[in-house]
Amino acid sequence: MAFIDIAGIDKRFGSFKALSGIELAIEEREFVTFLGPSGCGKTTMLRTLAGFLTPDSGTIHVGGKLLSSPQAVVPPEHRRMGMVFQNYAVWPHMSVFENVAFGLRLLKVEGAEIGERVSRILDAVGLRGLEKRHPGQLSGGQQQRVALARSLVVEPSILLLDEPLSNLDAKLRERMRTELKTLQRRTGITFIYVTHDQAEAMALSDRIVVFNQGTVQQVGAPRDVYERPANIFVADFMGLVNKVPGKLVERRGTSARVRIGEQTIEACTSDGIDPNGAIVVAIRPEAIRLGEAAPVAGNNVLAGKLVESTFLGNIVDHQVDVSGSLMRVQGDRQQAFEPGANVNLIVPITECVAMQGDTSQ
Amino acid sequence: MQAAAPAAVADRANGRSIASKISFQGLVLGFAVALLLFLVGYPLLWLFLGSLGAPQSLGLEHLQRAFARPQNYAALVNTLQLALGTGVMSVLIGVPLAWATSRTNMPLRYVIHALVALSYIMPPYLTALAYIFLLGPEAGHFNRLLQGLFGFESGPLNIFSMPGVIFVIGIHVFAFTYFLTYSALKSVDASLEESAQVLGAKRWQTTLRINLPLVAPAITGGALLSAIDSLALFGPQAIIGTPAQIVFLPTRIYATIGSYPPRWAEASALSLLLVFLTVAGLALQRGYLERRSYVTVSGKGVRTQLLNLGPARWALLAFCLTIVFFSAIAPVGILTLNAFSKSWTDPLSLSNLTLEHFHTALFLDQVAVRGIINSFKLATSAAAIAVLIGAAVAYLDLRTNVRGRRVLDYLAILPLGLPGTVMAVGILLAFIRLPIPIYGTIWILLAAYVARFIPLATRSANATFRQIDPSLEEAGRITGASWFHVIRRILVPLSRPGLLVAFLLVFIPAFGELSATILLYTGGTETIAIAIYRLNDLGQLEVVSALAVFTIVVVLTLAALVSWLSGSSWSSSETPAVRG
Amino acid sequence: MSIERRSVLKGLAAAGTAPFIAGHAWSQAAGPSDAGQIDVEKAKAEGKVVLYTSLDTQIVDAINAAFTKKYGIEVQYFRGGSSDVTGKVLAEADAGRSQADMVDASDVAGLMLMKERGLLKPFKSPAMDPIAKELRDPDGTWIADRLTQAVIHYNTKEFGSAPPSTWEDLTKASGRLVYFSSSSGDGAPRLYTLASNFGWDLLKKLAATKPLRVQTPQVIAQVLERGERGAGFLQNDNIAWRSKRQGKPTDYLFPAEGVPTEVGACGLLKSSARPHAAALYYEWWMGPEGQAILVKGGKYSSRTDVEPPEGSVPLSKIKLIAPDHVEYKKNKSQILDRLAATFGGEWGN
Repeated sequence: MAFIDIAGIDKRFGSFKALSGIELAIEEREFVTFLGPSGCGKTTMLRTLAGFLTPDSGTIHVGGKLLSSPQAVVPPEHRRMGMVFQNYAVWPHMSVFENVAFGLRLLKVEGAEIGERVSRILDAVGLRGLEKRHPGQLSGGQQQRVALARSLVVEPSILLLDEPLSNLDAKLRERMRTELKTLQRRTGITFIYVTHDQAEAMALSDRIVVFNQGTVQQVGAPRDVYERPANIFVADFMGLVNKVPGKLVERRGTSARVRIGEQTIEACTSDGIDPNGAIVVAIRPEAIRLGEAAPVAGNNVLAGKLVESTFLGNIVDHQVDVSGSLMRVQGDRQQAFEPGANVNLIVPITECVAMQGDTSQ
Repeated sequence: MQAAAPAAVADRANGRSIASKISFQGLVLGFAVALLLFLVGYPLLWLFLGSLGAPQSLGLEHLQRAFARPQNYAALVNTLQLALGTGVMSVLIGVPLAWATSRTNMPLRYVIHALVALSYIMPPYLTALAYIFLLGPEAGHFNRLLQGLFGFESGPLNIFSMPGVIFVIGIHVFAFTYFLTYSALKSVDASLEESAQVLGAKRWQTTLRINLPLVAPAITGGALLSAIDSLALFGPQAIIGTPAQIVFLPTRIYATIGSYPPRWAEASALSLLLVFLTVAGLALQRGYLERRSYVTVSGKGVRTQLLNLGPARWALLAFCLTIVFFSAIAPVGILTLNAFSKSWTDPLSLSNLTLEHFHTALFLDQVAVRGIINSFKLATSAAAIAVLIGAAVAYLDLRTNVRGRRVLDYLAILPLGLPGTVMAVGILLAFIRLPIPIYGTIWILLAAYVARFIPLATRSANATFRQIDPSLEEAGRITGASWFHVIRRILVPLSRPGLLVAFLLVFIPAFGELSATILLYTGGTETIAIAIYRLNDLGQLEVVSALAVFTIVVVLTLAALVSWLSGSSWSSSETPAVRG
Repeated sequence: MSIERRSVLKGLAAAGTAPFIAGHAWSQAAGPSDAGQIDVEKAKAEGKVVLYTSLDTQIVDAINAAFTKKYGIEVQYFRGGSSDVTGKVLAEADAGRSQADMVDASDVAGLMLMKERGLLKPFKSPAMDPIAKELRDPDGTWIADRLTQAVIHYNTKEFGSAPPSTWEDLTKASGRLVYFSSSSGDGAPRLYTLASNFGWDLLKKLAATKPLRVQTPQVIAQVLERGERGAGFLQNDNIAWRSKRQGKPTDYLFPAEGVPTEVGACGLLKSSARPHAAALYYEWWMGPEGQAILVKGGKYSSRTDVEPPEGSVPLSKIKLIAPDHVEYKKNKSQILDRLAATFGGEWGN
């Protein structure tokens, strides 16, 4: 059994199915991110894990101990986890020191040790010297650090973070991202992190769990999830993607031949694809190169006609008509084409992922 | 205002629209300042002068003498006891109720919430009257019930006592503590509690160490407001306190100028003392809240966690129902019952039912009929004038940078801290000396009502104008409409619901005003509150009940209208802070 | 409580503020100055009469109904306690806004004060001959209409055949007494009469019984009828009389050692805008018909040719003690303080 074992979790709020059949295994010291749009169930899962919610069915074990089941839930205060909230939830009536010391006092830690441990953790999060301040006198970033320090000082084995950076401005967010990752590495605490920002998820995580409509869509390392999305939703959610409709011609193991208009390409695929159903090939715009070069092994070449190019600074965004469907290509800014020009789209086969043309999206 | 419109239009035609706007505003400002100074500032000045012995003499000996008299000292001590008692009581019942309705899964939370609002909206002298029926030492229903149940020889509870006064006023003013604590608790995000919980804090530790300190400023502020409000409530102090032989500052002031010859200097000195207590309390409350208010209203929705109490929620509901039973259900119920009963001491039965008292109250009794008519007239006019002035003050404050607008704003809020009794003494002192023949007429009541309730109109108008983007008016100006035209065609229509609320917020307390009226009315200018008060003195309790029911129906209907217009719950609608 | 604020208005005059208020033409009296000059047609044209009175509303309503029925003239009235009515008339005169045509107060001292201030109109009527000379102003500005006595009022269920029959007896009814005085000391004058004739010790002993104090005499009867208290020092015999007549379980008696009495009186105002209607009403009020209605309400009429209220003791059989208005007025402050010290509570001083 994994360190955290989530098995068959269902959770309903009235008629709304917030979670259904969640299965997850998380190892110790892992940095796992729950990713998905709002209402996808990621926060519900986190709060169920924290013990604030009781599952309708399924179990959660941590370290082999049963913590949640529909019959009994170990309350949050007995789980010894840490949690950081989106709005920091720093207590405004206590000083920074008191905020951080709160958990230690509950653990009946000696006074001298409290002082020592609080100043150590405040050092670690870069808040030295602000012990006497009240939250009202702190910036958003500083408050978030207090929240982190408060959770970490009690040395939990698991830290739950609910969109902790979403209230910060972009620059600060990036800096905190790095700090969080360093902190996790250094402390070895298992981080479970909830966000709707896929870039954040990819930057931070060992593994990403993509949620949608209360179910897990895909679990994998950031690169896997990005490059080999399990379905259109994941492909879409992880970043800009061309979804080219096509028809499955032939399938051999994990590779497939797909007809797009009059052209046929090679693509990767997963098991369980229905040969009679509609097929979509997902291709990231940055994976496509434009050129007149002849085909090279391992690449697909598609003929198309350039419709429009938009200069965006670091890249140029091209719209290309390929057999009647419009594809986006992010190209080199040095490369220029006239609208109407015939171009070849060169895509590595590994960058073409054939998947079910899911209509549920 | 009407007359100035053509002038403004003409000026615009001459290309002098800016100049005309300024002069028009100057006119409005001048008018509002003059009225405010006349109605609020001038009486206050006379209160101060009066305590120095003016107009006969000027000196401190009157103040000294007033404070040296044992009668006055006793009144002060009683008043402080009352304030302390109601303050503590408001916390003891207001805080648990607020917690129950805001943070638990107790059933009927909204019903309890509405009934707390009802206990506050009901004029407190009616609650006092109701408690004579309920807890009168011999014939009170509760006392007879207790006698029957436990075989007491006489009724064990006596409303005519200091605890009785504190109780009757406490079940009215606790609403302040309730509402402040309620909104504070509502704005504590659940994450603040959950943070403590994940760190290992148990439910009671979270409540004690997180929730309580967070809402402590609101609780303290509410208790202070409750205490301050209780100082000023002449009605219950007189109706319960006087038969109990307990004198408070307002009833003492009333007796001081009620006897012959009236002792103006003493009354003024006592009024100043009352003002001092009120203002000190308000300053303390403001300062405290401003310095220590952690709970900020953010634009984002606050997630609150409702505590699942399990079976204990029924016990909590029983507690809450008990409180609102005493504060709202029983008083309204008993007054209604009495109003329809031939004799209030007889047991309830079909043969004891009658409409006769309503007939007497609404058609036969001269004073009652006149009182009803006068109350409608006065409340309507006072509300209209107060809204006019309040809107002018709010406009100047928000839309212009005319110098002195802050002072004006302050002056318009000032009467909030002035008990009705004090206001009446000031007005009496001030207006008898003016060659304006409003003294001894209904106009003096109108002046008093406008002065007393102008803060309600000003605050409400201010809130209304704040919600209207000035660009809407600027857009009107840029298309060529005159200032007056913009006001009439854009600002007024847009703010109409808000101004109607302002009107009602003045109308409601003015309709049942007692504490100033009792000193200012004369034959022919009796109001409904006076009719109730006097008929109560004469022991015509069934007719009093009928009038009380009538008043409650009017006040509740309008309060419901305010709630509907504001489109929000009671807690967020502005509740009148001063009352008969 | 409902009464004393009139004196607010009264007091303003005393505070030397009257000069600020423009004086009106109340100095010259208009209309009839004796009964013979009353013109009924003019009276009807004047349309109504405004009365300020301290008489019980039930009696006033009955008198007015009969008057309106006979002449078709409406009567508007303001009802308050005695000092209330007096204060109001004086203050309105000061403010130049007199409204009343006729005034009636249960305390003749108020009428005397109005006369001093020149507010009352001399009026002569032969119909008033059957009233003792000492109960009439020699100048004809006021005339006594009734005499009100203080009585011991008690619940018959509680006391049966052995009620307290002397003022001293009342002191034995510990915890069972009720008495009246408003918070401005409206009940004080007759308590003072009691004290000055039977000693302050009597009041001390009464106070020691922890009596219930109510704001108006009407409430005494209600309290006794309900049995909340057993006996009362009631200042208005007519209230006790009515309670008994209505079959309530109460009775009353006049202690043989003497009872404080109060002379009620009425008069016409010089400032009246409706002099004929007012004089007509005055004649009606003081005449045998009006006085008969008064008596029906339980009041003793000042007219010698009118019977006492049905079933009541004739005045001749009661030892009446007249109040010393002069002494009371002179020492009012000390008296009120002494009453406050004796009984506690608010006495308006």
